[in-house]
Amino acid sequence: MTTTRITAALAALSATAVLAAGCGGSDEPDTSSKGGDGASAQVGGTFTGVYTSFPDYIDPALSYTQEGWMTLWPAYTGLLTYKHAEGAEGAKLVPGLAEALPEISDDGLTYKLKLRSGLKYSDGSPVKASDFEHTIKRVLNLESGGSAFYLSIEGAEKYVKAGKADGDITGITADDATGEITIKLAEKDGQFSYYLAMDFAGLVKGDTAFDNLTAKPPIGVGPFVISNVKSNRSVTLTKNVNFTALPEVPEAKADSITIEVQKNQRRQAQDIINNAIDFMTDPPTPDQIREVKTKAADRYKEEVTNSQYYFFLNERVAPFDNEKVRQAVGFAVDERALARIFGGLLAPSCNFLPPGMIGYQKVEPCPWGEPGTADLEKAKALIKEAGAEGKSVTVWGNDEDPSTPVVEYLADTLNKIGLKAKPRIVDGSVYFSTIGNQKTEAQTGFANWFQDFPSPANFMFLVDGKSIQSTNNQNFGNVDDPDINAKIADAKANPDIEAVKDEWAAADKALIEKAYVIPYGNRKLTKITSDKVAFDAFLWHPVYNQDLASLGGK
Amino acid sequence: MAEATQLAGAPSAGAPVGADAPPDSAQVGLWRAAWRAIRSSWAGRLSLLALIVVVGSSLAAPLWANHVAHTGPFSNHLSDQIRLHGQLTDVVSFDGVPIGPTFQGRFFLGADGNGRDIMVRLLYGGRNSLQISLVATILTLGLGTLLGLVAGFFRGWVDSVISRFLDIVQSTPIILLGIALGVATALGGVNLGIVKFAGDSLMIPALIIGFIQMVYVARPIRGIVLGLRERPFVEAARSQGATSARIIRREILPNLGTSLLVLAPIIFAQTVSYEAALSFLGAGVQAPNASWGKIISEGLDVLISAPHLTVIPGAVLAVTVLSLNLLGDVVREAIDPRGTVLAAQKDER
Repeated sequence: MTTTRITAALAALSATAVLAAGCGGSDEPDTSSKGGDGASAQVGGTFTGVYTSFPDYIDPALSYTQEGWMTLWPAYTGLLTYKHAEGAEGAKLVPGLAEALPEISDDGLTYKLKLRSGLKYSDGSPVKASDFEHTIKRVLNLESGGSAFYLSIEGAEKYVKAGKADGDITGITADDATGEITIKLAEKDGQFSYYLAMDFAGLVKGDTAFDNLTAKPPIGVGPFVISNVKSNRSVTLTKNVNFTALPEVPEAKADSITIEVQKNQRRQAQDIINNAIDFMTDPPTPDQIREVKTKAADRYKEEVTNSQYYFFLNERVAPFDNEKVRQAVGFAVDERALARIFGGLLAPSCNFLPPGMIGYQKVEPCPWGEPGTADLEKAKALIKEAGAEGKSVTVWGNDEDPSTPVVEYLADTLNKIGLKAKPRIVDGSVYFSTIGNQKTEAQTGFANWFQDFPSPANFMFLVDGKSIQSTNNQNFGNVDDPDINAKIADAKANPDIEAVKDEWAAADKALIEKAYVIPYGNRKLTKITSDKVAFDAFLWHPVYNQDLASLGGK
Repeated sequence: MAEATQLAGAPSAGAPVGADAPPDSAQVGLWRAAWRAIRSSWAGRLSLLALIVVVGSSLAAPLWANHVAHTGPFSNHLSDQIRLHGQLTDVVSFDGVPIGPTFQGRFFLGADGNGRDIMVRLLYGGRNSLQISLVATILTLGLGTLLGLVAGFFRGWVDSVISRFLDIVQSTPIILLGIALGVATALGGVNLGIVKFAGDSLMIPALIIGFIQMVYVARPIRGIVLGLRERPFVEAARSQGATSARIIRREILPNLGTSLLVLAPIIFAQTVSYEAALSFLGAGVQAPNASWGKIISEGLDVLISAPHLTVIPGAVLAVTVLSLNLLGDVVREAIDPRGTVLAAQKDER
């Protein structure tokens, strides 16, 4: 998910720090909606939640925000999906509407899947294999933000160029009789299975219009149906009576869930303390957290997300072209100080990969001391050694929380170690395109990333030399280290992340040791519910945040 | 004094003002009248005292920072602790709540979310707010007078063009216009050819506020000039062959002194408010500089647990604006008891 979008939406995607090995799931339908500790929820009941912002779209082909994905996931199941579980278990790819994970050819270019038999859409009509191609066509034809994920399919670019909605994507073939679907890629992409699990690829009927259907969302397959949308006000999910639990997709617990928009986060927290609403997605304001912890301690939990907050250091621009200066920044930054700016909702870290990600191996010892320790004297000495004393540095940030105070902290810290720094705050809507333009020559500044899908590739492309562009560059520090590039390329080509997790970890470690970026922590989000909700059974999913299918009463 | 009296009794916009008055040598009288009014009124004395305290303490910001608080306006103290009532206390707690007023040298009025000393930032913020407001007021009065003078004196198409331009500016919501200009200039700064200001320069909000406010001076000045240009002393100068430039310089401009003196404190009070509003909304003073509006906005997220962040700068802002308005009223009553200048301003709105 792009940084801009996610920053605005305070994106989702969390995971616990626990890594679990192994994969696969039971073939028996999961109907228990059990939380990590085995808690279960009652079936039935109606619930009300709040978002601070209305989802960008209520259409799986188009939505690219946390609110949208969280709403749509239980209503649009794809061929592949994620396990309805917390922590690392929830980040595992599992078959959704497909019978099994894809069979991938040796050259990594062909993916074969088979649709389960007897599947029905929420209107009762049968699911057909050919609906998959229609689903992908909608994503491409509507110029969705997610279309880039599917352009590696053979014929996809040609389909887009032709501009005909009813055209053909030659790389997708489907047999409605057998349910077999074959996808041919124009180029190898080890992450393609993850793209099949994204909401964009949640199956919709073959006659679904090539329009933004937010007002009347498409028919899909899943525990819920989106039954009512009041634009910018509320969205209601009703239990899908035509859905039978799949091995990895449970039936909905609740009869219906209505999510309303409440812009005032202070009001949201008050309402939830008073049990006027059942759940909220954004954290309370910093000074309400104490109150929530006091008054609703048994229904409040902080969750570390698969995200990264870091300072980029542009190695093409002085003084950060000097490794010693970069190291000095590493020594000077105090992660625990920064955590206070986040109201405590930041887990200090030395790694670039978040702890919930496969491939995470704690960089130990951290070259700059344990997170939360700063050594200004050492940093000053390094600056002096590099001959960078008094060098001017502009620290870039945007006007969205928490970028400005973070950038003010960094500028002050750089001044303390002998540089001459000043912050430069620009409008959030143009920030990333500004620092992503090589002409800007942004020296250092604020950056963050929330995962699109739970693969290290979705983080490491931010520091891959191959991803450097002249405009819209997301490798803000222009990190281009041959050793790191090679490690990323090798690991990325392999769709089996478990098999290459050590390579990802090695790339992460090299990145930190050479001080190309200075990560300082992973964002925490909060789960808060009313007394009515079975708190432990309401799952915190590492990709979708709060799992609405698991929401139920005590 | 004669000039002051005549102008004070001048009719509203468009009607003759300052008839038969010797147009020069009057300014000293105006200032004296204003000063006398301030001294003789409790509101005048109180508001002047408040302003002296605000301005004086703002000017003394470096003294407080260096010799009392021992910290600068940009220094973060996120991980620091101070001794308070014999106990070590976090300047900013781990959950992000800053310390409140300590009423001792360090963090006298508490800290903000970055652990910066609020008293220090308040004083430096005052310097910035007042500096911006002063420049903006001068700019407003200068631009407004120029446009109003030209429009009122030359009339015809010149008047039409200027008046329509002012209509356009006035028809745009002032805060929205300020935000749009502030956001647009924050990235690339302002390049006026001979002068260039960086995106974080304090001059940018001053220019923006000066621009958006000029209409509130230009319109009443135009109305007054329309009246002045028909007065006998102007006719006399014209019949003696005086050029337009000379008439403006020697006959018209000196007669605008009362109007400008009446308008100045009101405009100044407005600019202080606009600066605070724009900075509050992120389009005024840019980080890391402080301003009262910016400090208030930074405190919103911790309004309940750290109310000092919003209440203290808010109170200082309120006192400053109230004092300026009170002072303006006192001055106006002394030199324009019939309220003709404000009436002209109101009419033109």
